[in-house]
Amino acid sequence: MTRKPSVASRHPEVIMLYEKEEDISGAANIIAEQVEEYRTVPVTRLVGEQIKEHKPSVILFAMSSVKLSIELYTKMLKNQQIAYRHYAIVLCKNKESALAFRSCIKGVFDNYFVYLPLYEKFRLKMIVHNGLRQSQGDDHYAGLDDDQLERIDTNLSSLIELSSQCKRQLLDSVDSCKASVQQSTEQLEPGEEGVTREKALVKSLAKQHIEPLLTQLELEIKDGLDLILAQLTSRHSEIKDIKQKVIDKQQAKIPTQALVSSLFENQEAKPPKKKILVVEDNQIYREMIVKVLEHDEYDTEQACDGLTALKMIKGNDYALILMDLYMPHLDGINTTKQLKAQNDGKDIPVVALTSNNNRELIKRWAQVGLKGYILKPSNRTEILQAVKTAIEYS
Amino acid sequence: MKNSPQILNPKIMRDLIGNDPALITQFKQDFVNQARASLRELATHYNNREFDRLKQGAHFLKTSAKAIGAEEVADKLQQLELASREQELSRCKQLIIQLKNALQSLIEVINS
Repeated sequence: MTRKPSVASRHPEVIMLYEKEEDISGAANIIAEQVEEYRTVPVTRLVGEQIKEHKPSVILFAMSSVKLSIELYTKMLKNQQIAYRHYAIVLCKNKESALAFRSCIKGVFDNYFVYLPLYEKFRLKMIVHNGLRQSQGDDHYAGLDDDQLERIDTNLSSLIELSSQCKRQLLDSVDSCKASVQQSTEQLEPGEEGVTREKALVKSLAKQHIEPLLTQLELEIKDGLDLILAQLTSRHSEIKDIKQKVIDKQQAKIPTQALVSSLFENQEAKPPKKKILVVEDNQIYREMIVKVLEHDEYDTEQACDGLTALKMIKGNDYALILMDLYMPHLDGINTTKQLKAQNDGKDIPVVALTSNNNRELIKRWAQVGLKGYILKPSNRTEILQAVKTAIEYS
Repeated sequence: MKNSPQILNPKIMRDLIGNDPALITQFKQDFVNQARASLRELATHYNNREFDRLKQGAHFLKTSAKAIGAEEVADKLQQLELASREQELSRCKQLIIQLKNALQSLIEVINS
């Protein structure tokens, strides 16, 4: 379910105070996606009274400068218009981030966020989430539902759940230890027979508290490991099944010897075409490169980003990869690094497609294993020459 | 001395994909469609002050602009990429307007 962005709740838990509406439109919509009880309020003479009336848990100050935000906040505090538990966030321009940071370190605001320009929408959501949790407490603040989060891979999602569960268990264990130690300390009584009495107490502590805790910890670790092992085993078995299916499919496709012989009778055997993977996010340029390569008797396959390319590389035998360096999701350099890590040591040559011929950059590309580069836009001859050289020297 | 950019340099595409008129026409039309959509996105990123996205969008379209030989459009995109990297707001606005005009000139040349 997607929430309809709203910036005018009647009982706001989060309020953003602003001077210029055009400055806050981006940030305001991001928070409205996350928090239902939310309102943006222009700063007027009555703003302090409005805050006093609604008592929002989180207040964002989006004045035109950090100085004005500090002044407004101080005035409200002095006038007792914010005299309750709350979380104050200053929104600032990039050039004022040092000042905003300083005001947080000095304890004026609880946090700050650079909203002009607006880069990290999830960081803003995180800050508001933490603000609500701190000011309302876990008992009152329900947090975010899964449907309010971006969709991610199921495996990654279960890994995050598992990690969170492990952390909670560990923290609970630590709390339990602390409580036991506290209880035992309270039982200690100072006396003259000190040493003997302490020894007895230590023994009693070990037996009654430490040993059971260690046993509990061991059990929890074992359970955690069992769970991880079970997941790994299941994943391993899935991969095995997929591999078997691929093999079966490939075998089903292999024509019989007789059919092959009849097809190629009286024909000279031609070497198989070399297959090249073209990774480029711009569809038009990708198709142009493919036309050039196919015209020169290469087989081609296409991917629009690094992540897709990495998936395609598994189980394929490419003679070469032509890769754009500047792509969304996973850029060319990082795709090349991942490729080397995942490809069982097999070294598929990678040639970069780039608009940048800076020497330092080219050196760095060579270090991560790129075998060459093609400057955009090169002509047919230059592209084919780079491809031929990379394949021959690999 | 560097030549001033042409609205459409036909040699670029001929040298890349060969002299196939039907294919060349198809790529030109594909580029016009892609550029119209990208221009709208660039304007949205500008309005939201999303400089990083603005830079990425300009870089993306520059690739195909260079490949089809739309030199003037590519030149504006290159400048827009730099201006958005430096977060020069008014320069970005100016370049988006110039880009729109350059694209209009390109469409006229393609249709003539």
